[in-house]
Amino acid sequence: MTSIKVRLNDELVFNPSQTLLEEKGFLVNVQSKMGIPLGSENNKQEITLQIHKKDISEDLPPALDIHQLEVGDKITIWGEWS
Amino acid sequence: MIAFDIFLDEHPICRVAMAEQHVLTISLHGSRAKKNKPVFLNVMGSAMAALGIPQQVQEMTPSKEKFLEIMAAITNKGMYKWVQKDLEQKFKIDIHVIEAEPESISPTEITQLDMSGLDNVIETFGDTFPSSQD
Repeated sequence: MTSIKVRLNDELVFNPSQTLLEEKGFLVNVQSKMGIPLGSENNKQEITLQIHKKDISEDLPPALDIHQLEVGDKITIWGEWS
Repeated sequence: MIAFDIFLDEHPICRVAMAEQHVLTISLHGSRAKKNKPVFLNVMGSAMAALGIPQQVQEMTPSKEKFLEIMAAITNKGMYKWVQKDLEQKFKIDIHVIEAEPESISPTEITQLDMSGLDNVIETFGDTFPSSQD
């Protein structure tokens, strides 16, 4: 059984099929950056949840869901990988 | 500062944050490309200043030698590592976005990038670099 479920504040945002997982895998990132690119005047901290729907080693660009995050947000990732 | 509390199977494993002009990445990756490859949890940060490509390099004709030189420079800067972990067959990861005092951030260690796959990248894309011009 192979299953991955990602919830953002109790909302289900990623629930791929077993076939997709077995064929493509998955990649879930939480990324924080500030003052990027260097020299930019944008010093607002940017926090995102990024979900790639296929293996990054395959077709580019991958299908990507991006959710902006803020203080108080909670992400839960359940996995069964056998 | 904005930080992340990370829990594995309800147990806290670290609190992470980084300063301005840094990038922090919490990644969870599973692949079937290799049989029995587990899910991998990786929590790392890097100073983007280390990844900046100097103007003079941008203006040069690209070459494999220069590419390898830049990658070596990035590698030597190192990265900040909190967690690199293979997960069990069943797992639950919780990530909470919080405000935290800098003193409460979990200690990190400096690690070198694993560049062992670089030769494969060059093979994959072909040796299409022109010969070095410098």
